Amino acid sequence: MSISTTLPPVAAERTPDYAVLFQREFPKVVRTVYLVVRDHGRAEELAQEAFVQLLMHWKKVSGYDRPEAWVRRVAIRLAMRSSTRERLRSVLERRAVVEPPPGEGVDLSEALGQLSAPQRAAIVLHYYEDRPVDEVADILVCSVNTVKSHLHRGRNKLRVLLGECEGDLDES
Amino acid sequence: MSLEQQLREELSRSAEPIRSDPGGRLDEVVRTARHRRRVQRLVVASAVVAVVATGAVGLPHLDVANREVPPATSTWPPDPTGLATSVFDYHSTFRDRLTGDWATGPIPSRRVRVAIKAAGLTDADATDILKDARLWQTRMTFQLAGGPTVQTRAWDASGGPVQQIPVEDNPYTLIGPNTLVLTRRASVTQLTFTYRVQGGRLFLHFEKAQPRPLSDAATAAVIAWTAAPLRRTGS
Repeated sequence: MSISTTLPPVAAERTPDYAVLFQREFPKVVRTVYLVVRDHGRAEELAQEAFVQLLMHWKKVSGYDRPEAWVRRVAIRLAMRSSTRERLRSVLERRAVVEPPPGEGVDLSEALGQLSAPQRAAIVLHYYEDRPVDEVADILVCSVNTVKSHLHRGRNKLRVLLGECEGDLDES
Repeated sequence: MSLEQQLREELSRSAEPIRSDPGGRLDEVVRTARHRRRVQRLVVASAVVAVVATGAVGLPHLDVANREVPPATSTWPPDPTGLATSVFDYHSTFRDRLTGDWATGPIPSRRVRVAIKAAGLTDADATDILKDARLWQTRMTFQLAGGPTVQTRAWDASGGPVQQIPVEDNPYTLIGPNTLVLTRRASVTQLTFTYRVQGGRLFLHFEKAQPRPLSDAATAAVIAWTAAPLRRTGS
C-alpha cells in the first residue's frame, strides 16, 4: 500500500515520520495497555484508537518534542477508562464468585488484576516502563502526590492480597 | 525479594508474549482516520448548510447584544408617522405576543432609581424623572390595529401630586422573536429593546438608541419603563 496516497491530505507530508513512529511505538504501547486492561485484543484496539487520534492530530502533535508521549497518554487514558468500565461491569459477576481469602491461591498476576485502574496504570508506568513519578503524573494528568498515593495504596493492596500483611482491601 | 522487584519481573513476564504486527495495523489506522475525517467534513458541511438555510428564511440571530440592529424599515430615517414596509414581517410570521395591556403594580421608586443607576446614570438623573414619588407605575399598551403601536404611560403612584411623564404613542416593529424596535415620533429615534414573555409577565430590557444615543434624562425615562416586569392586564 502506498501510504502517501491513502493518508488524509493534512498528514500526507508527514507520512514517513508518522509511519516510523507507528512502527516503533505501536508494539510498546500495546504491551503497556495490555498490562492495564489485561486483555490482548482490547489492548490492540485501544492502542489502535490512540494512533488514529494521533494521525488526526498529526499536524499539531508532530511539532511536539515527543509525539510518542502524546499517544501514550491517550492510550493510557483510554485503557483506564476501559478498565474502569470493565471493573464496574464485573462487580455483579464477582459477587457471585467465591473469592479465595487473601494469601490463598492468589498470585501476583491475579492480585494486579484486582487493583483499581489508576493504581494499575501508575504501577505499570512506574515499574514496567521505569518512568519516574513526575513523568507518570504527566501521563496520567494528575499531581505527583496523587501518583505516589496510587503507588503506595496499590502496593499495600498487593501485600494484603498476597498475604504478606493484614489490611483493609477497601482502601482504594 | 522485595515487592517492587517482584512487580518488575511479573510485569515483564506478562508483557513478554504480547506481539503485534504494526504493519497490518497501520493500514487500518489510516483507513479509520480517513473515514473519520470524511465524516467530520460532512458534519461541518451540514452545519454550514443549516446555518445558511436558517439565514435565508430570516430566522433571528441569537447574539442580540453584539450585533448591529438592522434597520426596522426599508429606508432610513424611518417614516415617523408609521412603519414603512418591514424587511421581514415578524408580526405576521410569528405571533405577536406583546399585543394587549401590560402594567406594573405600584413599585417602590427606589427600585426604579436602582435600575437607572445600574444603567450608569446618576442619582440626579433619577430624581429628574421620579421627583418625590415613593411609588412608581408603568403601563404599556401594544396594539396592531392601524400598524403596530405602543402607548406608554408612567406616573407617580404614591397618591401625591400627580407626576406623570407625558404619554407616548409610538410605532414599533419586531425585528426578531425577542427584539423590538420602537420609533419615537418626536425625535425619530429608534429604541431597541429585547423582551421576554414568561408566566404572564413581560420583561423588557433597553439595549440602545439609534441613530444617536439618548440624553441622560431621556435614557432615565426609558429605563423607568423597564425597571420592573409588566403584568398582562388586558388583551
